[in-house]
Amino acid sequence: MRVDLRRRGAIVPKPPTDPRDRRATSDSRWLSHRRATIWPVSGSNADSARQLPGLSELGPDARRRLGRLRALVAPVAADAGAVVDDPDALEVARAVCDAFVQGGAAGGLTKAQIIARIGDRVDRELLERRLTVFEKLGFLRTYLDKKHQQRYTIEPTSLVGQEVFERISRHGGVDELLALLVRTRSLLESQPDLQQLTSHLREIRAILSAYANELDRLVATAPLRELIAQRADHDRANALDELEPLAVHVVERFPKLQTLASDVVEEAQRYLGAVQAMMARILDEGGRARDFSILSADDYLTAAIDTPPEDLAAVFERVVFDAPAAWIGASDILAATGRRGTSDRERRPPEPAPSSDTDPVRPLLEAAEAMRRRRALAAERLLQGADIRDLTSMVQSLPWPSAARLLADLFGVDLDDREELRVHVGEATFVDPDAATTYVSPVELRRSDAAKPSEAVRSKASVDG
Amino acid sequence: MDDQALMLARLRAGGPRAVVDAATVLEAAELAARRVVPVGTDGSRTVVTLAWADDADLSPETWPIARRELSPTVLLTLATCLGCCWPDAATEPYPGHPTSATTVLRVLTSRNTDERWAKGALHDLEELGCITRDGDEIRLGPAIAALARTEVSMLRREHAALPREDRR
Repeated sequence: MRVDLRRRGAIVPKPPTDPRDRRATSDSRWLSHRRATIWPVSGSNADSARQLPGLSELGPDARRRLGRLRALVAPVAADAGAVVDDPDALEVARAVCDAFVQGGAAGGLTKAQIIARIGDRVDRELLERRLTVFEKLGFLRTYLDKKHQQRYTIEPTSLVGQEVFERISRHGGVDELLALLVRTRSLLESQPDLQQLTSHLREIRAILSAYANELDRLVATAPLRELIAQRADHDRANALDELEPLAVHVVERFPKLQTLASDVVEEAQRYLGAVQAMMARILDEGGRARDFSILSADDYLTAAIDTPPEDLAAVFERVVFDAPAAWIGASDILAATGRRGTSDRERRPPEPAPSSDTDPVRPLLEAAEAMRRRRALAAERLLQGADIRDLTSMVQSLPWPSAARLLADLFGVDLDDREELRVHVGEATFVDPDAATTYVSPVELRRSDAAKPSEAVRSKASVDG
Repeated sequence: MDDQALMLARLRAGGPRAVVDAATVLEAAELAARRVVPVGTDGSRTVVTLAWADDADLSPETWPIARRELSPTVLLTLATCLGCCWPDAATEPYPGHPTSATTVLRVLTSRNTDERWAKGALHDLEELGCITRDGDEIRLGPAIAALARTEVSMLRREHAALPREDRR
């Protein structure tokens, strides 16, 4: 049975005492006033991770991820330089983990094998440096606990830690908060231990409070781009809707936890209010800047389908449109009168007057025709009135440039459809080191209406073939 | 919003408007691929309207806007108004000469156009700014002043084909 805690007076948020609490109660008028007065302009240097030493040279995404890792490791760090400044180091750790899960690593891997399995995926020098660190910190352990061991295994906790670092560096700790919520619900459904349950609720309250405070700070001071980058971390905040029924359940089972449960719900409301304030600022500022990229294509599609027409129309209240006008074209007007007008562009230009300049192409055409005639006459001379003539010995006796020129002329005649002469080249090859042209195939010139290649060409081909 | 942009927005949304100095809106109009066309005066101020720039590419492929097409009767009525108000092809069609609705209707009915349809067409043309009416008097409107130069050139070439009283 659902119990309304507010109605029962069991969980009642404290009345707002400062502006942040008032924001949590969704006072939109106050919100808009606050936004108008203290929100910074885009590009102001309010990026929290940017202020961390050693990260200022990185891009926003890498800076945010490494900034989160520093905060995550801070409780166990020996000094401020305990966390790497190079975003590629995360990729190295991921590559090393992958090297061990590829199979065949049951007996451990040598450093050379690890490096070979990773290949060019990461920088070799960086990889070797990191392997030394991993060994010292127990990320990699020797297979046998003896000196001079060359084979290593990976500490299972390292794999889990890698996953945690990945998740937190990319999405912050909201996933952990939701996982804690699930664990608390599971605990409540089994045989709950009061002390453990109290610990879970305190942890949830602390995380919610920290997130609400951080979002308050971001909404008040961060530039729009950082808010947009943070938005994805909190897009599952609606999962906290289940928190209130959970708190009711807790109070029903353990009335002594009423105050703590009430505080948890209150912090959840404050967190959700801060998320809403962040979204409101993103939408307001993005809308004013006409930045259509702040919403995804799916968001626009959803809005087009689900939003009432009057709300969609409100988007264009301040957009200028041309007054409705008809398309008036001269061709349409003339067509209505029965005349079909033609535009200037469509009208064919007058034929130009004959030019007195010499045609530059004509001499080329005349030269080509003269060459064709010269080749044909030369070929006829080679035939010496016959229909077929074997030219193999002639080609063989000519020095190479002349033989090549003769063959080129003959092929030119062969390709000319206006000529009756055709050239046949046999498949055989005659090699005579003493001849002017050492390599020659049988060549025969004949009229196109003559018979097939002569017996001489065929017999030479068959002998040489 | 600067004054030029505001004036351009008013011209786009509201049609012809009186301005103190037409030059003040020229730059903004050029950025919006428009040109400013003076269509009259209002006291010491110039009344201007907007036309598309001559080099604006308005082909449906590159400018996929919905266009209102005019019916054949409205187009024929417009052609008749042009024929009656623009007697000399050597001049610009706008402002042209005044004519009368009676004349236009007479020309149209002589071409087998139903008079009621022709009256409705005159009403449509007045709403579109193609003509202005003062009682029976008809003048060409600012929409004709805003016609592209290529369109005017085409009309000028076929000027003799425009229906008018002395030609059937």
